[in-house]
Amino acid sequence: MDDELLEFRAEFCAEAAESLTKAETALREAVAEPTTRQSSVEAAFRELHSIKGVAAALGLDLIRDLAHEAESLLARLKDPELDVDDGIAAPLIEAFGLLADMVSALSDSEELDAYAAPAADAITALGAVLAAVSQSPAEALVAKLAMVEEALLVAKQQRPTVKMVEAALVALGAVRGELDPSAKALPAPAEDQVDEPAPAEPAANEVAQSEPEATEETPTEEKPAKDDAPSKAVKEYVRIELGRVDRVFNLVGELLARVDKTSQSDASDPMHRVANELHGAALGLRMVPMEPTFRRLRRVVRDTARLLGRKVDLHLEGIDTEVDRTVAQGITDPLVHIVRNAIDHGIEPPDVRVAAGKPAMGRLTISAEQKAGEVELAISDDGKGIDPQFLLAAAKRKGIIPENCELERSECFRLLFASGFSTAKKVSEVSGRGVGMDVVRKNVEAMRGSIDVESTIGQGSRFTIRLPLSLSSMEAMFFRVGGGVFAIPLHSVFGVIRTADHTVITAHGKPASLRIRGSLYPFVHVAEPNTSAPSGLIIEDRDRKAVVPVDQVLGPAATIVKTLGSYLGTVPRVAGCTMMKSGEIALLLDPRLMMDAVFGLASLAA
Amino acid sequence: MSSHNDPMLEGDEGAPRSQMFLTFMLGGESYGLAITAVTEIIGFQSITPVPDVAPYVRGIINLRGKVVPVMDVRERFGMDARDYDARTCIIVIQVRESSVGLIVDTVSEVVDIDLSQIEAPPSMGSAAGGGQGFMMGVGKVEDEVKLLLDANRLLFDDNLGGFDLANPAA
Repeated sequence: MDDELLEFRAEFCAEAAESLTKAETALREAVAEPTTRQSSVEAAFRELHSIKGVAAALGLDLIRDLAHEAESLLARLKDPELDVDDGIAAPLIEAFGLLADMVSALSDSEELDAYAAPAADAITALGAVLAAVSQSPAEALVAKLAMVEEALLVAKQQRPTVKMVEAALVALGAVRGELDPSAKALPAPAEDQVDEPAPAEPAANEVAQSEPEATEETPTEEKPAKDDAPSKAVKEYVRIELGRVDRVFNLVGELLARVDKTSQSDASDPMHRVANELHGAALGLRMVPMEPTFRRLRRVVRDTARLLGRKVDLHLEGIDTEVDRTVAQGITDPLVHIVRNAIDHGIEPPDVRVAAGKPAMGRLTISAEQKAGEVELAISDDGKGIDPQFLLAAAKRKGIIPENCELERSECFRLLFASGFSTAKKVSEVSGRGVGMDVVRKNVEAMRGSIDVESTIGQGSRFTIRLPLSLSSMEAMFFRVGGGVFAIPLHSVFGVIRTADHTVITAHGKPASLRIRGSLYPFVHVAEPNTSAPSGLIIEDRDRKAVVPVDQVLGPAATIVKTLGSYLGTVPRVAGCTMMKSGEIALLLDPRLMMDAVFGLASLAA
Repeated sequence: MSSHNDPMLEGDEGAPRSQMFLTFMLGGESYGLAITAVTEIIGFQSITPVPDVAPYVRGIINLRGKVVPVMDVRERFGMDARDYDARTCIIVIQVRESSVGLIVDTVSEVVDIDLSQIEAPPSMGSAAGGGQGFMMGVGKVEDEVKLLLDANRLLFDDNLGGFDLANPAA
């Protein structure tokens, strides 16, 4: 296969995957919201139609045929007389799922032969539904004419001056009037179709009426379609190769560093301001909403619940929350894993739930929210919960922690993420894929994030993942100690104190912690301070606080984070580095790992 | 610099008959690195130490906005340390996707060594200074001997220097 075709195919895969999730969302809306059903079905129809077209052009017959059958059924569902219920939607959603599987197999350069049988089954299922809701040949012709008419209407809205379109519409209306004289099939005047992009079956007289309007408006109104077409501002997108975005991003970063170096009067310098704004805009280029990830989770929830015989009511919150593209990509697998676990081990089967006095339908909430330079993702269920004592016992049994070890409640929950800890006894199709929660934790930590779980027995569990909004930029507190410059993420800096103002508590003859207003804050050393009475940077992570002795606090600044490079790879306690205005390199520290070392949980994190 | 008379570098089959090396000094010995691996040579500059990495990795430097780790080749070879001075150089090499700076006593010259003048490295334990395990061969230029290093092993072979990069504490 030549490169061009491969490229075309790759593009198709990316677009089709997106189209299919859109189609599924639209179809679910069609079932849930009868008032806007037609526009929803219409949206799903358009997605399938474009998939079919491109698949045909690429010679992907299996995809084309299945998409065609789904499209045909959707075309039929546009009839306002028909109710779209779960019975009709189910085989369609099944087909979308199969199409998505084929598309993803295709993007992995797999052969589609294995999908021939399931695709044939899906086509049969769709055909059966189509037959059930089907109409006479005349009706079918009318429906097809309606489709043509619709396309013409769209064309008319876009190019109101083209008289041919107008004429074709009038002619078409007349033909349809002859074919289908019953006024019943014509929709009532447009009241209930406010959201309709183009009325599915406009009456001939409507077309005639709109004619003078169109001519009146054309000279002045740039977009005459605006009034009756969806007035929601449609966001436009361009597809850009990620490498180009990264290049712009890196150049802007370099520019910012140079401007910082040259501009004397920091923030008031217009050059500085423009450079900062440019940086913000460049950051925005990499930001994507969580929505596609959430859509994928919706499917995971549905499939998992069906497989395990659970009833799950899924709530998604904050789907518009934007995160760095790399974060969105990297977090998908961990989220899928947690969601599967929540349904498999959390939410009980319906009969068990009812016996426990809970509604048969379990509730799963997935939310995303921006908080102080981070994005917080939470997955909570109302299932059976996790017993911390059980985790503790299991960890002791597996030799992860010593037999006589006592842990606080929150520490018990962290055991869930320790290496070699998996409470599932039998390997199930859903959860037991050999990937444990420790892998989830490692994936999250690789993105400089953290994961926690809190649970109440009988009431449910809540997993919280915190991730930096961007992997390449952050607000950090800079300081000098022992001759080096270091930075710590600003959101984990709690405050600055003078160590001389507080009592140093020693252990084994060495300063171990600082007593501040009755609480003990252990020392975390980055380097040996040069000054005898250093300042103390109080850092916090979750509920833990510690003091970092520093020679000089330089203050907070926005910074571009660079990795230490592939040669050094991952270095303990160092999250990356950043260039100072002076050209000096500041190491960016990971407060969580620094604290783990002091609070004695390093063994869990290993 | 080329010591042979044939103006053509390439043989009849198109195979190169000689190879260019950047030579540098460590102690009293002359070492060579294939010029294809060398990106640039810079003077010694301040290095930011990085905790918990192999001891021969001195830290990282800012090379025009790029982060480059630097290795002390003497330490890598288990040779005695020596203070850095005005002649100390950092040779930046690139192997696979990694750029790494190599701290050497001083850089000498670029030599073109005829392939027929390159011999297999001497066996371990010879008197040829440090880093035998990192060598790809011994090149002869007139009556001088250049110890030719394998850049890939120099960076990535964890079993040679006695340190495990992945587990520096071990």
